[in-house]
Amino acid sequence: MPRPSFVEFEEASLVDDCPPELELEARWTQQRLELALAEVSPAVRAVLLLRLRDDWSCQDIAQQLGLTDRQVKRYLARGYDHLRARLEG
Amino acid sequence: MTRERKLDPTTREQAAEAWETFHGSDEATPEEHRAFGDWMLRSPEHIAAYLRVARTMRTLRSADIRWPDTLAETLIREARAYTEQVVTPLREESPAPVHRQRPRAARAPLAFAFAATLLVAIGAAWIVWMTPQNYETRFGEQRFVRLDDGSGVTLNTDSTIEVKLEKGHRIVRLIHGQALFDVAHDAARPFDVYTGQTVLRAVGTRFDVDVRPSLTTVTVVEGTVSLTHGLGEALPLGNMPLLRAADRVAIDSSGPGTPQHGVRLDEATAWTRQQLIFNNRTLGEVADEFNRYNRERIVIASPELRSQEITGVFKANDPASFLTFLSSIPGAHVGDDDNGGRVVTLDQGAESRP
Repeated sequence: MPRPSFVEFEEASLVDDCPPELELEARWTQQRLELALAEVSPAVRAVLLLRLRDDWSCQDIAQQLGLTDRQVKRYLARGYDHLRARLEG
Repeated sequence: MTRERKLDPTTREQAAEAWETFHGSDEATPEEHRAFGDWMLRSPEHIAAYLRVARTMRTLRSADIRWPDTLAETLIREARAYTEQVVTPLREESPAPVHRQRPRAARAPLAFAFAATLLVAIGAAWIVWMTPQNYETRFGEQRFVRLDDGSGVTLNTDSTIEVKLEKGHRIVRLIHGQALFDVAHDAARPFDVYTGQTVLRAVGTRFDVDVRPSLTTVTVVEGTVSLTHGLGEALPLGNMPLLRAADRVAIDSSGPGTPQHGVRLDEATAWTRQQLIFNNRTLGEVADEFNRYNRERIVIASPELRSQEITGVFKANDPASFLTFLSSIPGAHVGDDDNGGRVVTLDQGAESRP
């Protein structure tokens, strides 16, 4: 069985791993996310970040913020909705 | 071109919960899984709502996203302060009790003395009850006040309200400044906000009133508000035009203008989060807004620069970020003025477009 042959490319000939349009899109998304987080109330922001960034459970968030599970889910829903509107807007 | 259908809030909320159930955690029970499966199959709208959430979550779970590095403790503290804060007014809420000289007739029967004391106590309590309570914020301060009827009032910088909660009527006078009212529903007790010659009546709603020297702006966040202007305080409220959610009206010395519809509510209430959100606002307006919150005044001396429009988000207590932005404009210079503030000038003939 023939051994696979490898061809070494010159680095300069390789395509940039992050083309400008993707970089631009990523930057745009990041800016929209920051704007969206700045617009929601402190309670919704806390719930979103603790859930999505820190991966806390809804129960833990509820306990720490003095809310019910139901309220946490409502805040999450409101937050997702707002993020969606901003990220797709 | 296809247009995304508008989904009702309950559906959106349920969709978010469904996503949480299926992907967000391992807390959901098999019954919950089944319930949300059934919910999704019940309507194409439910599936559409779910897919929307899923699309957003895919973006948010991307490795490229950089979340703010605010500590969890800070987030929790801010959230708790926001949801629970009840603030004591800065100055005494109740007047000093009314002192009444003890009757000289020391030999009066004990019953008479007791009755007199009781009357004085009732009188004092009545006066205290009838006296309006004042709440105020100083320059650069914001606070949330929970009223006895359950309504909430968020006061912006340098604001004063006078509150009188009576049996059949709730009256708040916004003497100066800005306040966001979150009115507890009580159909039997109308909630009226008086500002100058304008009266705003709300039953179970949320609205913002911003009183400036020559202009008062009312923005309805939720529910409806009726507005009456210029008739004094004995008002025949009832057939007045209603302002609905996302409506805004500006009132000047000639009366209310035409209501503006579809106002961005996140921008209108940004100040409650100590934020200043500007959408195509002139640099002059932005500077004026910063000056409401900060003692170090920013003066933009160049009319050309003042009229430049920008869009952006700032922290109200961070004028330095705005000054940094201003100094990045070609030809703009930031210096000190004689009053301890900062003055921004523009070189003659400089291109001022940011």
